Amino acid sequence: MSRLLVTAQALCGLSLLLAVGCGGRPDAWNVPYEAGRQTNDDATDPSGDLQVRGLSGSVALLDPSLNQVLMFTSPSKLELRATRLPVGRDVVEFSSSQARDRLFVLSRGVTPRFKESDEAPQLRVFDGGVAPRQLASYELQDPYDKLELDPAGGWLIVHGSEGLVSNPNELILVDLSADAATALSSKTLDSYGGKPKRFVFTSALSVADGTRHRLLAVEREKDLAIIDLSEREAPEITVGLPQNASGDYASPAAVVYHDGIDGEVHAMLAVQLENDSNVFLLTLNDPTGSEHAFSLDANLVDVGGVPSQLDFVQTRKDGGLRLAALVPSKKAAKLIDPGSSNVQDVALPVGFTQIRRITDDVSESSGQDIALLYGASTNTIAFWQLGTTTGTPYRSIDAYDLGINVAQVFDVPSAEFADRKILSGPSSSTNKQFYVLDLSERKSFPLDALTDLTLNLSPRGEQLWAFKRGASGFARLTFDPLQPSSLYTEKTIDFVHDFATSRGDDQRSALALHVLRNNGHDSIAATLFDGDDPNTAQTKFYSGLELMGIQ
Amino acid sequence: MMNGNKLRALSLCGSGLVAAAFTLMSSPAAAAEAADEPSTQEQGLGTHQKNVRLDIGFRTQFFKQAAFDPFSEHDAFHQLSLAASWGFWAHERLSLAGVVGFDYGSSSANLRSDDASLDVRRFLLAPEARYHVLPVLALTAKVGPTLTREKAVVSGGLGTDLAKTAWRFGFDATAGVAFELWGYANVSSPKPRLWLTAEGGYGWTAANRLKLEPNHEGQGPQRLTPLDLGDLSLGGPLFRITAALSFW
Repeated sequence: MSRLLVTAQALCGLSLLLAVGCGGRPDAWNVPYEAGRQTNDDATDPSGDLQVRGLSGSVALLDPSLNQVLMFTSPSKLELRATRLPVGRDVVEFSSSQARDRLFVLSRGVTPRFKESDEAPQLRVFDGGVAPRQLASYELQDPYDKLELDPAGGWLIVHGSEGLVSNPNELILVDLSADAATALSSKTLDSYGGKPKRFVFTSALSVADGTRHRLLAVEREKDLAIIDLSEREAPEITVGLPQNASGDYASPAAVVYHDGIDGEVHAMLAVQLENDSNVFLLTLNDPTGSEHAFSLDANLVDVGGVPSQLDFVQTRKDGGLRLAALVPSKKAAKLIDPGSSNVQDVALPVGFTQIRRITDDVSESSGQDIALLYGASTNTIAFWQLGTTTGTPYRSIDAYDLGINVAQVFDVPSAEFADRKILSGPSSSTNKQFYVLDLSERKSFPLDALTDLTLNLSPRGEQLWAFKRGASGFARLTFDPLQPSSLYTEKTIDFVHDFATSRGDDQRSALALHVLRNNGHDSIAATLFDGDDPNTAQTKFYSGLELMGIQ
Repeated sequence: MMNGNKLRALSLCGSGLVAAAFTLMSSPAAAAEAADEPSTQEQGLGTHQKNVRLDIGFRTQFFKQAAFDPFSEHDAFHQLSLAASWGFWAHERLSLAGVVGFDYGSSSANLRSDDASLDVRRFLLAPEARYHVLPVLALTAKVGPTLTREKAVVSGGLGTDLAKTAWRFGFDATAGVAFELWGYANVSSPKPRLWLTAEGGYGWTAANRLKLEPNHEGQGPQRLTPLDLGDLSLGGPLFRITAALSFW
């Protein structure tokens, strides 16, 4: 009998073992989904604080619990597919290129990293097209938390280490056109106490030997560091800023640049100084040594008031370069001749604070620049045509009153509609309007909205989406004809974007993303529309998107 | 509905039942019955073979399919197993029985932020061959078709459950042993006999595409695309342990 009892006990043990074990499932199923969020001070960013990015052929959504990005693509209209790609642990930056063809993800990895097997900090680059894939991965020495994007898409700057001891002047330059082995270079800027505040990538600027160099201007508290991106091994050029009237060193507020004009002026940078009426001009002249392809010659010009914005303009075709400084306190613009440093006054009807050159966006360009003047404290905009007429240093200033104060001007990323601008008011504004400005016709079209809306321009540039997070209605606006249409979803909206399907750029799907609360966690759903002809009665609803792609 | 924890408890109870049966077997009366075995052999196997038997126990099957993962944190799927058989033919040590079986089980798990559950009810009809090595010990084998009802449910953030219920054919093929724990030595005795059976084998059910939709039309958003959790084919090795009572 004892043998039977032992057998019985063995059977009990076996059943216990089998009740609990023998294989498992991917851990991913056990991890609740929590939408990734990050602080976002950019009021024009349609993503808000949600870590989602609308790309040219996909929508990228961070799945931070699984250290993956979900790339939603559309094989054909109204069809949705998800691809999961790893992004690394502890994502601190989730950004897209200006052209929305690339996604950049900066992660800190495991910190502190005690074991070789612990994941290192890394930067990953993904294709934002209809076939998402990782394009490059760069392992970093230390965890960084800031990423600066080159608007032209050629470079990235990684900086902002948060180690026990860190050097804020240490920059990692990433050449996106180089192969992974040579793409990274570290640059530690000489410092006299300052640390980087802002970064400005210039376009290619001509230097004395005829070559063209892209520069990176690093704005610091008391100086500028100029890095020649074409010669990364060369030391940076540090340009100390002048002292102001109280004896303190001025701080940079903005940097603008121009490639110069043959036979007139060399390429140059202009530095706007904080709370200072002086403008600092830096001309790229012949090199004085072998270290650099150029030297920088400084010139300080007083414009009679604190400028709100600078920009280079041309007053005649192929020449007449001037630096325009808007001085709202004087209700004036100052035109600085960079060759002679002479300053010309241009009286303006109101104190505009912002200037936007629109020359290339106007089909009938005469060679002289045309600028759009606007400001968040005025409901007037003006078209400023540069040039000269008798008695005035400009051709015309045509002012128009709008129903809103203009805080942001959006470019339409389409050659066909480049002459359209979207004007929107401050985010705190109670006036719920935005305007479409037709530069060619100089007409402005007010668009009333029931509520303050977030705007997202289609990557193709033929339409605009206007939505409010937490609402279930949104609008689509086409530019030709200028026609808004209202659309609705059955769940509240967190993001709207349209993107190319796998069938081509001219067959598009539009996605309204819903972050649903469930069991104290998040769940993702989406309503898919025909991106070219959206109709609330012809949609597809997808739920449980956070489950897609888990294997 | 019986969830995974209940099934696990049931499995443990089954184990307890089996243990109790063994304890009963260790009683003096049972020992006396076993001592009479030589005389019973001379008289044939009688109601050891030809009988009606009712089984209760548990079945555990192992599913490696990815489509099962949403519903369980492990690969083992436990079911309550009920069966009735009729030993209708016997020739020397060999006998044949018809078996009707029913297995019931469910499993549930977190599906990230959602809850998922799978309810499985399987019906079996099969012939079972039994070969008595001893009057109280038989080797068994059976192969038979199954009909399985599978109901998968996901409760998510939509405010309505997404579900799919499907019936699928399949088969079970098992072999094992049946051991008479307690019974009268008299082969003609119509009184109940207590058996312990253990068998293992393979069970398979045709694939079921888990495209989950709201239970009722009008629930959930318009033109809701079904939640696709892949092809679920409940196939895998299994074992079953039951306690059985036979009588005639």
